[in-house]
Amino acid sequence: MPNTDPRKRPDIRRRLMTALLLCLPVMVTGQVTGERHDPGIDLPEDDGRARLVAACTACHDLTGLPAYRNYWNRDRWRSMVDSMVENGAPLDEAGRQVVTEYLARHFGTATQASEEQEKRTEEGTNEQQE
Amino acid sequence: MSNRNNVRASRHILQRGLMCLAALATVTAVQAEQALVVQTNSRDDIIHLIDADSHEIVDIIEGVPVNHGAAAAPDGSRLYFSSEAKYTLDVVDTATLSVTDEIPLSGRPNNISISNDGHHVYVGIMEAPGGIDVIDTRTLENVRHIETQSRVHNTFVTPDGRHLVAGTFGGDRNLDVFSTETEELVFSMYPKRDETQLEGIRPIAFETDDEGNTARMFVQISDLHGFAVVDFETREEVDRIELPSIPEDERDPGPYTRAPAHGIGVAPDQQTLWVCSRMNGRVYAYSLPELEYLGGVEVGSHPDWITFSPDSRYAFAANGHSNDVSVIDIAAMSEVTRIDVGDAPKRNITFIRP
Repeated sequence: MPNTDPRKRPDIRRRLMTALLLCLPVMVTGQVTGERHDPGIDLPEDDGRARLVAACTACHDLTGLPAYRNYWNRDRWRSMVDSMVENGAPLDEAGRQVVTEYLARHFGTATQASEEQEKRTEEGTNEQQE
Repeated sequence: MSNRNNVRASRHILQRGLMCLAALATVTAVQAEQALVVQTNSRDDIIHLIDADSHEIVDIIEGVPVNHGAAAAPDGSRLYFSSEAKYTLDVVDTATLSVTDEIPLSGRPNNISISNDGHHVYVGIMEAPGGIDVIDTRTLENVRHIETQSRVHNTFVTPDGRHLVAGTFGGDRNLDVFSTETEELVFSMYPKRDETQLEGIRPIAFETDDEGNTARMFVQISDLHGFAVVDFETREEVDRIELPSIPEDERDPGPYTRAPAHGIGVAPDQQTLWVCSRMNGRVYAYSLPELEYLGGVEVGSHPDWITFSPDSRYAFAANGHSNDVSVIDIAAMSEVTRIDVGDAPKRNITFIRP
């Protein structure tokens, strides 16, 4: 007999209605009106977060983002953002730039560069203390 | 004279002994081979190796972030994986399970396939403008690019090795068939129906005739909860089969990225065709060649891809949302176990590790 774990079965009806209600204003107005969906992960709170969540979570959560951390530069993130817009993500040009900058800042190779700088600063501080 | 007889007898005994040792070595070598399911995890940097008989995870490959496609060298000495994060084809030594080479690609990759002789890996490039990168596995270099004028989601080499088939998005036609010998386009099918970027061809499975030639393709298409049947020789769609419908409140609400059915495979014994339904959370079986409906098996959330044990006893469905693999007893048409794997498991293959 199939061993279906009932805890893994989603509350189908509630999720369907929630998804439909949350998608409707975005679909009708084409406007990014603010955070409406659970991205599935903790995202840094700064400029761009709201647009990212509103534009992307109508179709999918953002739990896949950390897997890209430190691998993609700004150009590659822009390419992905453009691809998602072609797939239906509601972002105008200004929105694309904001979202791209946010992704590059928190999940791009810039993240690695800033982490390395922080490490150098910390090592320098430790040497001074010694 | 007696000395000659003694020498002959000794040689005879020695020869018999050597033959026995050779037979023992052969048996031992066969017993050491292991049939493994290679399970990618598309939001992770690890790949699981699952014993096809015991259904246990026996090894984990690390260091391939956002791994997408998988292929195995025919001798089992290497595995190849496309990495969407690194834009590379990664080469893994199956003896050490370490990544030994990272071959740069022309764009963000999706699925891959390997020629029957193992000399070329064909990498679908999903990032515009698309196409297929051809990797020479003897030199581990990206040696050619096949233009498709479309973004390539999947590549397949037909079981007879003669054709490279690409399922694509955004092209004027989205199923391309190339000769593996010349890499020239042989024919195309499925003209686009709209200008959206997710319009196109999804996974494809292949049936062979008694001589091993490609007989039919079973094609998954955007928005179709089912599959199309294509006669390979006539290059025509001859049937379209929809999967069973279940009550709406039992369906996964999605989204399905316009692929309510994604994942399809022909069992190695060519007796059954298996089709994954993301919408229904089930896999469905059809008899071959009759395509009679055999039944469905409830699996995890969003079954996305399927592979088989070499003896066609088990099917392994990767459940992309519940992060597990359903093991299905094909004869019993039932799930026998579910294996927890990484984040968003999708493409899987089966290979024999020496």
